[in-house]
Amino acid sequence: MSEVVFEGITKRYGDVVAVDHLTLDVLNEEFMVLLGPSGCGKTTALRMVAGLDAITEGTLRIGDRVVNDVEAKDRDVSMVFQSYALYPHMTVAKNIESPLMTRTFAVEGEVEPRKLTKPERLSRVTDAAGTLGLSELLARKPAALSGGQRQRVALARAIVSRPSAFLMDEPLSNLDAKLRAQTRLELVDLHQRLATTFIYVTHDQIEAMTMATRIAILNEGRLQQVGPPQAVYERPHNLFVARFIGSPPMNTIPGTFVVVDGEAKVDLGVGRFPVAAVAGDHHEPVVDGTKVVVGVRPEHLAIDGEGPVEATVTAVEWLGHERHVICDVGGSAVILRQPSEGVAPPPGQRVRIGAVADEVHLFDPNTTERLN
Amino acid sequence: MSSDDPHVRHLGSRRTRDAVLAYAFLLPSAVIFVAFFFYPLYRLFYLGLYQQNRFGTAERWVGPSQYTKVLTGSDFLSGLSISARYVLLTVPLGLVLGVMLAVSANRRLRGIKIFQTIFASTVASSVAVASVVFFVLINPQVGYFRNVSFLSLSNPATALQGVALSSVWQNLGLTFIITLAGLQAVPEEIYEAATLDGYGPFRRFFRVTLPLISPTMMFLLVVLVVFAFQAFAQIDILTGGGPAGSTQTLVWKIFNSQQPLDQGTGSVMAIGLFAITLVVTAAQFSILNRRVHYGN
Repeated sequence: MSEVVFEGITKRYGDVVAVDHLTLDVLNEEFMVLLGPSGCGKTTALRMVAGLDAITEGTLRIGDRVVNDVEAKDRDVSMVFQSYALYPHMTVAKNIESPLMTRTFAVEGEVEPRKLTKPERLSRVTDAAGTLGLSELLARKPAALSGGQRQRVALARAIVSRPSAFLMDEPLSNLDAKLRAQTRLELVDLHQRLATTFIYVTHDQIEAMTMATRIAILNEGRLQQVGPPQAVYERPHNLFVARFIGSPPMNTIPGTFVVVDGEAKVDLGVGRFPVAAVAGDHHEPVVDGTKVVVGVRPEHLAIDGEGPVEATVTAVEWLGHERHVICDVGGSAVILRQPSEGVAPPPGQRVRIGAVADEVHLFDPNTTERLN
Repeated sequence: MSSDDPHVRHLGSRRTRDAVLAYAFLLPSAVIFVAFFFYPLYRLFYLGLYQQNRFGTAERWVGPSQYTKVLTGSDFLSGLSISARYVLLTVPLGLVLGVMLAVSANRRLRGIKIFQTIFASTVASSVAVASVVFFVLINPQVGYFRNVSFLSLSNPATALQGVALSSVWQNLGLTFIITLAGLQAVPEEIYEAATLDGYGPFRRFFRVTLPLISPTMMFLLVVLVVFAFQAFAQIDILTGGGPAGSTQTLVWKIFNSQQPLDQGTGSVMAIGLFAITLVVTAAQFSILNRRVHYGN
């Protein structure tokens, strides 16, 4: 149970910068998800915490210890690998017991950490197996387990040493969709029961949104934004986050900021959306005539006979519980999310669309940073 | 469905066609097996029941008694004993050295391919080449290492060791390549998990690496034992069976019994060697297979 602090952490492989000056404070008992596309540096960041990759630059702390030069086994962290990395020749019990075999542990009532005795190890294995519902499977080998059971063995192996922090590298990616949804809930439950710091790497935003206390979004080795899932979704700091978070992603359309009769609007060439606030937080005020990229989430757009912007329906996707109406707005493809009830507009139909003014986001086309 | 059903007829003709095709694919390898394995084996059995005259032009039925006589005779047993010693001298050492080289070369280092190529190079040399190299090295008269007493080819007590060393060297490339392939098939994440679990190099090797490459080890053990039982050229080139018959392995004796008069005896010995190799291999599988982990 410790915080994990990245202070300007950089990892270079030759000329390639995998992680670029990452500064991030993972709080004690937090479920932090490192989210980003393939190659963004999230797994490298996790491996540096585990001690599997050396840190090129910066300081990494686990609790109050700087661990840059501490061996992996002495960092007091556990890791669940994407492939689970179970020892195929060992039984489930032996797999779970494995982290207890050579390391020393603090034992209640004793000053010095020591190796655990066999009864102590077996007691911990039984506890961990019970927590993960594996008590009946202890004598089996990994080959005789389903994907979900293997995943739980990997989790049991991680919790058995009662580490300061759990590191998980895409642990759900080998499960089917149904099992993934179920395991997400189990992981959240496990986090609450263990009350330990979790650092979880994924490229799947659904996993991030559903499990994280906070999400850290990375791209090309750089941290883009850190925050609770809702905050990241509702107020993306830049275009990358706006487009990466959300499914379907946020619509982004080039436009111009204008002030008409004292009202702030964005001109898309085929109409103008109202904008609620153009200066807030620590942003500079946006002046009339500024070129911007307008971002609107699909659920904040609606077909409305009185809507200020013209569009042409190009396709309709029916998903059962909702439908996506894809429109052409001045040459940009824009997705509207609608309830599946009622009649969908046919492709080719000209429609007018409106947007919720509070939910229209403006981004600088050059820096890609948020403007409002 | 009655047998008049056209679908059933269609299915039947398709099965026949598939079967014909399957046998057609099997035929080339079946022909090769029959011509080069089963027929020679049958001929050996046959010849073992007869005694040839000195010109090889006529044969006389002597029956199964020839098998009993030869297989319990001192000639066969001494050959078998030398062959068994040869197996013990070559297989464990070859296996250990090959694994050590493979483990040391299984690293991501700049230039490691050069070492891998050097270690594997003996696989490209023939037995004859390996034997000539060792002949130059340990020849009792002119060899560079003629004074290394435990390899001396002129001493009956050590000659087999000298020959065995040449075999170990020659098989090292094969053992190295196959072990390296086995090592490279072990997922990196398993080693990383072991690192996080606090396994040191020795524990990692004996508890993780070795069990995971056990199928490779099993394969190499069987192959090297068979190679050792069949070793001939290196013995013929380096010692010619001497000194004082100390390197006359079973195969060497079989080869040298191929004069017409001894053909029956040699055939029985060959059958004996075949049976022993078969039994040893089967024993290896049945005893060691329980310790071999074949993955998922």
